[in-house]
Amino acid sequence: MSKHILKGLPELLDAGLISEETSEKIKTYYLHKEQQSPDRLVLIFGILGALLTGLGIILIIAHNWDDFSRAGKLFFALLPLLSGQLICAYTLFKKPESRLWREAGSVFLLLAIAASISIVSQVYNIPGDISGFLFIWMLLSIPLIYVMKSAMTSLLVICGITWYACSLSYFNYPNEIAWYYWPMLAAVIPFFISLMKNKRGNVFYFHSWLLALSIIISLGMFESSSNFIFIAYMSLFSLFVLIGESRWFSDSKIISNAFLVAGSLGSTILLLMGSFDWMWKEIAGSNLLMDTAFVVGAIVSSLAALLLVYEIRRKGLSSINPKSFIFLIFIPLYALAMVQPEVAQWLTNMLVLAIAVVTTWRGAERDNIFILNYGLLILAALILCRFFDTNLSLVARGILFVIVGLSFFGANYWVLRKRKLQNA
Amino acid sequence: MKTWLVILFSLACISQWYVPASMIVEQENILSNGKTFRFKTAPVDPSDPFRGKYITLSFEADNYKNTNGHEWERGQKVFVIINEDDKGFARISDITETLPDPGKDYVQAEVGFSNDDEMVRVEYPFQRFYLEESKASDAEKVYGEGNRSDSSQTTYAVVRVKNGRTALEDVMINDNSIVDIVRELNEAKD
Repeated sequence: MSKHILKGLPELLDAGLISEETSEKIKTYYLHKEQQSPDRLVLIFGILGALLTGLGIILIIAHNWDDFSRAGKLFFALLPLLSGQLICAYTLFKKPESRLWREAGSVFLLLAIAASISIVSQVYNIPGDISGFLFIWMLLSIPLIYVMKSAMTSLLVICGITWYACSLSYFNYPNEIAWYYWPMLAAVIPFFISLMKNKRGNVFYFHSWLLALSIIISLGMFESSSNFIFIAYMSLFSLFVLIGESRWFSDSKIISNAFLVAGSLGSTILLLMGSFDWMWKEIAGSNLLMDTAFVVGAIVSSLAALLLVYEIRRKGLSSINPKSFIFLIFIPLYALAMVQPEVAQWLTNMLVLAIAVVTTWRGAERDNIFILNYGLLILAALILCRFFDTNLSLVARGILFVIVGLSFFGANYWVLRKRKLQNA
Repeated sequence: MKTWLVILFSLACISQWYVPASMIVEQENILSNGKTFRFKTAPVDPSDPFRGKYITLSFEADNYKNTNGHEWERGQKVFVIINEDDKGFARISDITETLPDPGKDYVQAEVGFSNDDEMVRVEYPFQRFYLEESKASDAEKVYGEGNRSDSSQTTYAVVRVKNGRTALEDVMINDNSIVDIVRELNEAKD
């Protein structure tokens, strides 16, 4: 960005738009800014170097030389752990200000922990289970996030605990609820909050995306025959929309606002699923148990409701994103499905239609092409879904699609024309 | 530097050493003080693909007649009480959910499969024997040969057992370590 501005300075000078003095001031500003910011490329290569070296060492040691005695193998298994700890200690005492040393050192140590455990297991022929291994590995790595103030370690830990939850709750048979995922996730949150308070760089946006995806992936661990998990998910998506539109995130660009995008897309997809009959039939056949999924659904819904009340008080009802209310509609729909699944399905179709219209309207009103097309896309998806389970004739389907296509053109043309008129 | 940072870092380093160290201490203790059992290995399933840098062992003494009709679930943690048959190989004498009486030799294992009231098959925690990557493939072949039903060779795993915990010491074919056999084969090849 700064390069573009600096390149354009002579042109602006010639055109007499800025003075010589202003041009110099701008140059000094960017020069100073560049000197202050750490060299990003060096940092990226430093972390990459630590990752590759760590992984390389794991592979070399995993080769498992038979020519070594047991003590020899153990020595080489534990050497990377010692080196990693020494690098981190050196960084802490001698180079605490260097982000490169902090990031690279702690990533190396994180991998060395895994190497030491897996190679000791190998020396003693312990097969172990992957979820137990991931649990211990992540537990031992979490302190590094805070001691070394390492964002990369934090990102790797979020990936690792998600892998742990998946391995225990989805890939293993019999499945178990990965309870320890939640305290480990909570242990990463203070670091995320500190990133949020300090500066909102790419690291913060990566954290938001990984955290949002990790929670969405892991919440499914509570799935049970009661099907209350649908309520938990819908409330989670509404909660995400509320977080995304809260004062902590609302100034981010849409693509950087992970919670808003994930919440909005998630609730739309879940509602589109509910526009088919299978979801409501499954809910109608649920065992109504006060099980874990019920408690989790109740907790997530309460959190969403609390934040909703807070946000309404803060900025007024009219400024709230309509998607934040979906969970309040979904809960009665769920109850209705117990007795009348067809009615619940029909109402869901109407709800998706309403969301499509409101979103398109909000896009047009705010002069935002992105939101406008998103609304139209929801409408197109709804129509596409109905093509699978209705007996409309091909001609009727064709006409419907032509109408949607034309409305895409029409709405976009209208907004662009409005912009042109405003600029004229 | 802040004191709490030094304390947290020291605690983190100690716990990072504690995990591998406790594994080493436990295994060394079982290897030196545990009672030795010989588990005869069963013929290898030829469809079981080569698993990398270890050979996969399957055992003859891994199933037990479920006479009392107890329902077992896959993955359930159980205690397998073992003793020796007349040829000196390990065999299952009982499977329980509760900790066996002291004095009995037992292994902590998982239920792999249960055929309602007929039989229950267990999965032992010593089904992998690690070898150098380049040798594992040869070893698997040698192990497969030794296990063929028409083979006159006897293949077994030497397992140390102490308080339910186990350590796999070696895999033997006709009383020779598989590590030595594969090494001799490789030397002959060179």
